[in-house]
Parts: sequence; structure tokens; C-alpha cells
Amino acid sequence: MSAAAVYLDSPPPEVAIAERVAADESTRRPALLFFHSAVVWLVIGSVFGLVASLKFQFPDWLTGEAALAFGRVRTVHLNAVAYGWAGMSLVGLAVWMIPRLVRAPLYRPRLAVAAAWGWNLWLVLGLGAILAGWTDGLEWLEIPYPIDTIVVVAGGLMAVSVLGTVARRKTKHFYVSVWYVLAAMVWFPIIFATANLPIFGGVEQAAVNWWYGHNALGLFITPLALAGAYYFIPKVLGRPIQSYYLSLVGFWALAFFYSLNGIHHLIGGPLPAWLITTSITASVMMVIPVAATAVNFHTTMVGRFAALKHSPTLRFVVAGSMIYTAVSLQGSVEALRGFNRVVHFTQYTVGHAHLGVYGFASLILFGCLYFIIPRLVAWEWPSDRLIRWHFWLALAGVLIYVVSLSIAGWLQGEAMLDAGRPFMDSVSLTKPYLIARSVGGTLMLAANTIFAWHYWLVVRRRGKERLEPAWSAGEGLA
Amino acid sequence: MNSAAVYIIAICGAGAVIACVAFVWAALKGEFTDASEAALLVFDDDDARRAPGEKP
Repeated sequence: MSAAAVYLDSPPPEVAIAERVAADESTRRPALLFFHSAVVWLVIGSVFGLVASLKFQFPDWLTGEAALAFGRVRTVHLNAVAYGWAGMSLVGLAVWMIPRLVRAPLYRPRLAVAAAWGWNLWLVLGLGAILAGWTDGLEWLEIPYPIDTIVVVAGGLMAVSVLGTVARRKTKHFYVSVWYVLAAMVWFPIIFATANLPIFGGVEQAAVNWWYGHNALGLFITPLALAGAYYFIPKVLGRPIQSYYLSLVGFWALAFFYSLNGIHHLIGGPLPAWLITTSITASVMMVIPVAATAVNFHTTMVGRFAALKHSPTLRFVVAGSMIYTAVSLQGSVEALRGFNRVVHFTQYTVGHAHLGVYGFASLILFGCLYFIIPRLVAWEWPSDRLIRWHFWLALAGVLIYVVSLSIAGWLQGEAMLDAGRPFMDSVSLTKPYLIARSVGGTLMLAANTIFAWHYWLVVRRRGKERLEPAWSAGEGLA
Repeated sequence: MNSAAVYIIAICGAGAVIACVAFVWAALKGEFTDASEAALLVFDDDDARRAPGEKP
């Protein structure tokens, strides 16, 4: 980047327009490829998730094929939604957002396109391996590590494209979303490569495994989702974030505190007490960045909540941001020894994970896509009704799911701690809550299917051609 | 000492060093000087396309 190419953060309007158009043009193909793939993985992952949940009610269902056993179906669900849906859509979001924020076209878009194909190849081979029974047997790291080399290459290509774009920036400052994206691009390869090293065994492997599993959420999914929220809340409202400096406090506090999280999943395990205590401390310290972000988002929204009626982007992103606060504070409490003693090894953790990946990250992603896709395909979403159904089904689904599993997990934990009760009590008492979990899962699958169908319609440019978004032509969102 | 603990602390330590270097680099580059200007970077001509009613 030459010094002459850098100007103040407010360029002349004609320059700003030309650069924004060039940025959008450069990202169109790779971003769409990431988003198309992500939506396909969302539907596939959701179907596998519901099948896994229903197996608790119908344990003899789909037992004829080893590939359809609970252990494989549930694992495919996790990998498809975490890396296929969330991973690919978050990277697509970064690809689309960064050139706009640094006012420079995407560097070598073909690298990003190749990265998207590589990422899909990794998932197809990886999920196929899991269904065939070949896995590394580690939570969040089930895809065999020889296949993981594909995503390492794809991620490298992606990083070259994004970092190359940032290196050619024409802005004086980094917007906070750029900080989050850059950090995720550095952090994720480090933790992924470390966790996949085939040098750990036994309890060491468990420690590294959970350090990775928790940080895949905290150092990859969380920063990229927050980058989206920091971009779209001010943009849709038409007012800057309330305190830009507070947003930087949030970012740097996350950078300093998050990476030691994860070992608290092994409280009670045969690990050094100081290591677990360090992780618990780091988890509690996360209250700082979470509070900074929550206060900033809330004070930006104060007096403008009426806008939620009109903007699907804002509605999804704000709901996701509120859930971010809730799930993060829940996580800090969950890491405390006294609380963890009860909920460890229970359904409570499953509910917490879904509140994070679906309630927080996915809702924000849906909101981002409602904004981005019409700009990429030059066609408005055809139906405000489908958007409304999508929102309420997704929200109701995840809340039913999380509340039922939280209650089930607590009761299950108390039953397991009661030495006078048979172990099977802790299993059978969860039955009604597991039915509620399947109901919540069904609603989320319905929401995701509606979204995928609507996505198909808009990218195929179906429906009436509109000059303005559908939701402003009708009665507006409820 | 458990060797996994050593690996994790080493990786996190390296990460902390990288974060500190990044922070100092950003400070020296003036990233935090007049940083509130950066809050306006999200706005562009595309905002004119906002749907009626989206902006309160």
C-alpha cells in the first residue's frame, strides 16, 4: 500500500461510489459461492440434527444401517452446521464485508472461489468418512486429519485473499469489524492446526480437544458473527455505533481472555488444577468484552427499537446479539465449579451449544444474508411473509429447545449426584424434555427450510420484480 | 506437568505475544488516534437504497 493511495476515511462521494461498486463486483462470485454452499449445508445439517433428536423417541428407527446410527448421524449434524453452514456463511460474510470496509476490491477473487470449492470438498469427504465410520473420534474434530489438510489449504487461500485486500486498503483506520475478521483469520488456523496434530493421547488429547472445541466457537464463529453485527446494526439504523472506543475494548478484551477457555469442560477430570482454574478465570473474565458489546449495541438501539418492525436484517441481528449476551453470561456461570458440578455430562451443555451456534450466530447470519443477497443478485426477497415465518419459527424453535434441555440437564445432574437413586432415573426423567427438544428441532428445521426455499427464489430471481424491499411494500413485519 | 497443559499454555502464550505486538503496532500506527472516525466507515452510497421505514 503506497502512502499516496491512503486518504482520510471520508473520500469524495464519486470516489466512494466507484470504490463501493468495485468492491461489490469483486466479491460477488466468491461470496455467492460461499452462501449457496452454506444454505445447502444448513438444510442437510438440520435434517441430520432432527433425525438424531427423534432417535431418542424412536430408538429402533433407522438402525439397519451403521451409517444411520445415532453416533454418526449426530456427528454429521454437528460438522455440517458448524463448518458447513456457520463456517462457510461467516467466511462469505467476511469476503463481502472486508472490501467495502477497506475500500479496496477483493484481492485475487479466484483464490476465494478456489477456497470455497476446497471447503466443500473437505466437507463432502469428511462427512462421507464419518458416515462410513472413519473418524478421529474427537468432538468438533471428527473429520479425519488427512482430509483436514484440504481445509488447511482452502483456509490459506482464503487468508491470502482477505489479508491481501486489507494490505491494499485505502482507509486510514480499521473499522472494528475488520479487527474481528483479521483476528479470526489468524486465530482459527492456529487452533485448528494445533488440535489436529497427531501427537496427543489420553487425557492430554481431551484437554487439547476441548480447548479447540470451545475456541472454535469463541475465536472463529464469535468474532465473525460480531463483525456482522457491528456492521449491520449501525448501517441499517443510519447512525454510528454509540461508542467506537468501547467496541475496541470489547475486541481486545476478547482477544486477551478467550483463548484460555475450554478446559473448564474437564472440571473434575485428571488435569492439573491450575489449568482448569485458569480456564474458569478466563471464562469469567469474558464478562468484560460481553458487557462492553452488549452495552454498546443496546445504547445504539435505544430509541430506535421501532426499526425492528421494518427491517428483517435488524430484527435478526438484534435478536442474535441479545442472545449473544445471554449465552455468554450463561457460559461464564456454567464454568464455575459449583454450577458445573450439576450440569456436567448433562443435556444442559447441549442446550447451551445450540443457543450459541443457532440463537446467536445463525440469527445474526440470517440477518446479514437478508441484507447482502439482494445486493448480490439484484433482486429483492419475494415474500415478507416467508421472512416473518422464518424469524418466529427460528426463535421459537431455539428457545423451546434450549429451555427444555436446560431443565432436563439440571434435573439429570441432580439425579446423577444423588447416590441413593439408580442411574436410570437420570435418563428416564429427561424423556418429556427430549420430546420438547424434538419439537424445537422441528421448528428450526421448518425455519431453515423456509429460508432455503426463499433463498432459492431470490437467487433465481423469481417473483414480482420490485423496486424496493418486499417488507416496505406490505404491512411491514409484525 | 501434563504436556497438554504445556502445549496449551505455549500456544496461548504465543497468541498473547502476537496480540500484544498487534496492539502495540496498532497504537504506533495511530489506529487509536481519532479512532471514532472509523465508526463512519460502514456508511456508503448504498445506504440510500434503504427501504422506507427502515430508518426511524
